Amino acid sequence: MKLLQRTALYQALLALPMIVVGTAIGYGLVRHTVTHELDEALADHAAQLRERMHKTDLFLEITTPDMLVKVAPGTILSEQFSDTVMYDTLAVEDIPWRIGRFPATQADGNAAVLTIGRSQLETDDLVMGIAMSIAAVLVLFSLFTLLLFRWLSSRLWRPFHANLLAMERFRPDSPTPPLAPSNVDEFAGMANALGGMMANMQRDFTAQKRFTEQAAHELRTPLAILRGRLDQLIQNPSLGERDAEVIQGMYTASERMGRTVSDMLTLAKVGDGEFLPQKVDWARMFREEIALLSDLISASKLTVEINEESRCVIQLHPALAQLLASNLLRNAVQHNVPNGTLSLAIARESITVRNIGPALSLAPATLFDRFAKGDPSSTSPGLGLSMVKEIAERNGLRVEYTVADGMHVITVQKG
Amino acid sequence: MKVLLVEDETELRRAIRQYLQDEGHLVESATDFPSAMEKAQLHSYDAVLVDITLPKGNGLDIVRALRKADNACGIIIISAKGSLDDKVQGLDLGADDYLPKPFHLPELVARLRALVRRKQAKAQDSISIEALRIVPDDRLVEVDGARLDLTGTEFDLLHFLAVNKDRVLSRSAILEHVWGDLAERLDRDDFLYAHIKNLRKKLAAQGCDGLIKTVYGLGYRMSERA
Repeated sequence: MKLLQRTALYQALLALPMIVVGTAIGYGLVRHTVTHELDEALADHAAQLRERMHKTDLFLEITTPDMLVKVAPGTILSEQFSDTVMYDTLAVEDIPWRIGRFPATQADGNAAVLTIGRSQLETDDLVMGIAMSIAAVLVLFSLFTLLLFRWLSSRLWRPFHANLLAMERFRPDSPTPPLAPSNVDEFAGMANALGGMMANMQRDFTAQKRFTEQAAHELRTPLAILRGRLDQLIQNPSLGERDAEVIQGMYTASERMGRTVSDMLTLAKVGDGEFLPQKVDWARMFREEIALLSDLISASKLTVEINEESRCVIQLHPALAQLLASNLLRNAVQHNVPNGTLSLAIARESITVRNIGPALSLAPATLFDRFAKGDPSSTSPGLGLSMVKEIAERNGLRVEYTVADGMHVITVQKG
Repeated sequence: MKVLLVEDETELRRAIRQYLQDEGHLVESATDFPSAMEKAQLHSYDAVLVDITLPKGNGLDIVRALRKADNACGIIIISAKGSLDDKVQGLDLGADDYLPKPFHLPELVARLRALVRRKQAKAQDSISIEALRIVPDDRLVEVDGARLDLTGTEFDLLHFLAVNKDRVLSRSAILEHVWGDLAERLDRDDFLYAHIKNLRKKLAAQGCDGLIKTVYGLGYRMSERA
């Protein structure tokens, strides 16, 4: 949920009890005041009637839809007020009344109870009306503050969102995106820190890239010398068996080093981001790579199956696509067993390479790591699958390794 | 063949020069850009081997200058930069081949030979060793005039050995020449041995055996039986 939505939600949640409680308090206060006023009116009225009761025996009792006066013999010590509900035959509904009972003396000197009642129908309406107004004002006020706050927040957070977007789009191999300035201290500080971090990352990235390239380049020249000298050396007819062994060891070491250097350079280049994507037909790409590997495949007597469910077109630079395909296939061939199988399934959204092979001796999670090797004595630098991952990740593809039916399965999926 | 070698690394320059001289080529070398330019303009060569990164200049400018002067010599760029851009640019400027460092010297010999063959456009340029005759352009192999059926891999193997006749070729050099960067994935010794065995068998079947010799622990060599 977005920050703005979340604050709005909290505000609404906070406003709701405020509206309810506020309305209830308002209602209670108004009700109390109105009842008090009514009681005073009843008492005034009773005082007037008591005056008249001294002088005359005139019949005082009245009953109208909104007032009643009754006199009955009896004794009470002090005035009493109460609420009651009476059924109105005319209006056909229960009507709330306020009743006051007052001690009085009749003209003949006997004690009596004077009862005066007033319908509360109108005052009730009034109180309800006032309560509703209070509620309405509170709701409107809450809504207004909510909207105002929302608008203000969206304005205030604008540089934050702009910078967030810039951060999401940031890649150390492309120019730094401009960061939105802000006069809010926190945001300005954040933009500053971000700018610094991005610049650092770029510098590190460039430095690392240059270093890898220079290192690879500087290693190639001595390697060329070593190879050249070895090629010369083996022409010597007087070399013995022991010499041959020594020389062979040097050849092997020089090759291994050459391979590492070339893989490192390729990896560094994949990271350059200088490859523009094009549409690549994967089935064709893989078929070509399989053809290139045919000598290797037949040497291990592997059975190759290609299952093309549908055409699969992926946006990738052809050189990278070729690198990805060849590394996947080489991996499947190299970690196979004699007379094993290698199957390739091409679907609309994915490519799956399955191969039989010895169980993985390293943690599956580290399979795509650089220099990850199942067999520590292997002369392969272990950069093949990390290259696959690097290419995939930089081009919006996902690579996954699983084991199914005793086969190693690597899937490259779009998105 | 007269070759100009432009390479600033002393050791590498020596290795290449000696190896090519042993092959019977006449090699002159230059160690930096100005002397290379001077030699390239003063003398004529059959082939020029040029490094890209040179003191006081860029090897690509030598390629450019040679082609601008309509010099038809063969040009091979040897570079440790290994970037695709350099390769494309070099070939665009008129270089005939691009050999990334590190390379095996027999590979350089094979490339030089192919280059000269293309340049001189000799009809039916062929390599003959005893009864064996190889016509590279047609990928044809004959023994005593009878055609020998070889697979593509076997032809590459035989041709590489023949071009480097009388030289000991390391297994590394052979594997890299025939299978390129796939070589690194091969269970090398058995794999190569299997192919050599097949090739020998096919040659022997035509009465042409003993040409490919095993140099114990090092590799193979092709030479007359003698």
